[in-house]
Amino acid sequence: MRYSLLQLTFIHLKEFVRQPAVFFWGFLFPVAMAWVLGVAFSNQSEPIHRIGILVESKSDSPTAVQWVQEALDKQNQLDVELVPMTSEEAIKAVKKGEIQLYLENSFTATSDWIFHFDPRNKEAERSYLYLKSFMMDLSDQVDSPNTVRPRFTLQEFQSIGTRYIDFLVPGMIGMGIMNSCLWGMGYGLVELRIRKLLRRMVASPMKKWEFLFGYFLSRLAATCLESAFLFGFVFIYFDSTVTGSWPALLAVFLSGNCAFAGLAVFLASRTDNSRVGNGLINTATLPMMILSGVFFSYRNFPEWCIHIIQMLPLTRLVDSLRGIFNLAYTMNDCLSSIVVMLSTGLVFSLLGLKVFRWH
Amino acid sequence: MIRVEKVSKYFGDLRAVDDLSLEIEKNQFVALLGPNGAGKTTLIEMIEGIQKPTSGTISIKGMNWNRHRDALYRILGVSLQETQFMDKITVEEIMRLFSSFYGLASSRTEEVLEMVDLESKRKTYTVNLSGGQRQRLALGVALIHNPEILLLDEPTTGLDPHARREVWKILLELKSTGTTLILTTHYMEEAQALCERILIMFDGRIQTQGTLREILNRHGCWELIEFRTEKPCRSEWFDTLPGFLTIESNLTKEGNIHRTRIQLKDIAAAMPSFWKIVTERNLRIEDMECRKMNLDDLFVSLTGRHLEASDENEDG
Repeated sequence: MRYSLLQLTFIHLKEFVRQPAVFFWGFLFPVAMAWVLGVAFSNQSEPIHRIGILVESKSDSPTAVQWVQEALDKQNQLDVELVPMTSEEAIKAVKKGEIQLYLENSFTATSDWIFHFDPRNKEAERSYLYLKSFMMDLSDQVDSPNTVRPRFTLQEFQSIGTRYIDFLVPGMIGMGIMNSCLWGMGYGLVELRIRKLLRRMVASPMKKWEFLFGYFLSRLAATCLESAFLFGFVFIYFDSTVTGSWPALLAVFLSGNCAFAGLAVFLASRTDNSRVGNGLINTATLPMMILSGVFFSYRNFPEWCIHIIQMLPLTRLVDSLRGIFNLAYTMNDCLSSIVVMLSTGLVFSLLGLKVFRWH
Repeated sequence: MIRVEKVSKYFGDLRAVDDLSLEIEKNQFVALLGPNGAGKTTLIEMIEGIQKPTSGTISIKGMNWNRHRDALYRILGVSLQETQFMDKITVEEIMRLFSSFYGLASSRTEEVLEMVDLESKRKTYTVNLSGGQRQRLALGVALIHNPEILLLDEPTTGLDPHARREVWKILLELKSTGTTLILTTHYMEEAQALCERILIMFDGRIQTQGTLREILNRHGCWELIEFRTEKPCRSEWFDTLPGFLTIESNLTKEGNIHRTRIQLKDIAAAMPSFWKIVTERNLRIEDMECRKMNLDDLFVSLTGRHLEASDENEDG
């Protein structure tokens, strides 16, 4: 190898390892993420497929449920959790994203099964294929000439609010708000500090609160436009609607923006290194993007961490938006989330401003 | 106008400014001259209120940064070292933004654009401006509220001579408006061209100050003969020259060529004797320069370092 090439390689490598923050984001953070996602959530004793099974009332213990449950137990299928529910409860659970699929049969025979789900939802389709193959295997093992092979019928979700797109759009809007605030405002502040423009601006009578509030308003305008554009598209193309209260939607939207703007100020409060800023914002956004139920339901995560996930600001925001879009949530239904999100924004803003480096 | 009393600034163990005192009168144009790391930026940023002194006091028109922050912002115009404006914002938009901080009418933006000769660039994104235009924009931003005191941190660093002179022209025009100017620079000719008072800083202290003539006279800055010879010269050959002060022989060696510098009171009086010695010693002179000493020579004699050859690192 040429000496100069060797020198250049080592110079870049030294520059990299001599920056402890970069070293952390490059080496330790990915390992921590791999541990959280790979080890903690791969616990085989936790169910992966949460599937509704229709019963007439909750107190029933119908043969069909028992048949499937016993069969599951027999084959040690611990990754499937059957949740008996009425038809009304099942639809509600689908709208909330708690389940993506539910099973129905005639309650008199175990052979005719109807799978209710949206085939465009890949997670639901995976659960369907998984359960179907396992039920087929089970019927093959019953060595009796009288055994009727089970028949499977697909019933595609038709009503607005139960489709995957209805689940996805509120998640996308919530994620848009988070990214717009954390990248647009948080990273923007770090960049202004790097350019020394922040330093220049505070060497004038500019009010600091005006500067930050102006930044917040600009991001709010951007998220309004982005969300309206997305909603306009799904309204026209997928006939999506808002079934809940519009004032509640406005309040949730604003409080979500406040929460993430506060977090942005906090994350951007000290650093003047773009790579560190990048790492900090990724640390906040990546786990929430994965855990908070943007693309798939967080109900499939282990029970112990669902409570933690529900405390994340993005989960609060997405759950509230989903409730307003699909479950006709009113202001009262969203009030606790609005208060929590506003408080989150306030606490992080105050913490951030306390240590904020203007110079 | 500005009074700095026994001000020191430490960054951890590093002493950037060391027990420095200074007074600047109204309408004075003052240059803080020194290499990078001399403490110029730290001193000017303490006057600007961006940094707090570790000890000592700074007062501007009898006000200080603890009590009169808002009033001071209105009388000070500031241009920081290496400020980069937002890329995709036009010159005019930047000017309007900063004028809004002072509650000024848009007519002031027009005046300042004309003053810094950026009218034709009003719709240009800052990212597309040349280095000189960016510095003029930074100067325009500093002048937007017609400040009484202008504090400029290396306003022409990195500019070509033409762009530098354009900035000087704007600053010299301010002289007649009663503005007080403090600028930091490591360009000797900038200090000479713009400022009647020069403060030479090194190692966090003011080494010397006054007008250019005062400084040169005070430090015995007379005249110089610099020459290069094939043979090395010995100091004692020249110490009998009329008006002889000092000699630095064999300063640099380029191949077989040796450089020597003699400091004298009067070159004309010493020249006959100088040529006599050269002839007697059979010195073959490759090239020779006779001149009056300048600030750079003085700076070398005070600090052992050249002003403009100093490193390009961040000023302490």
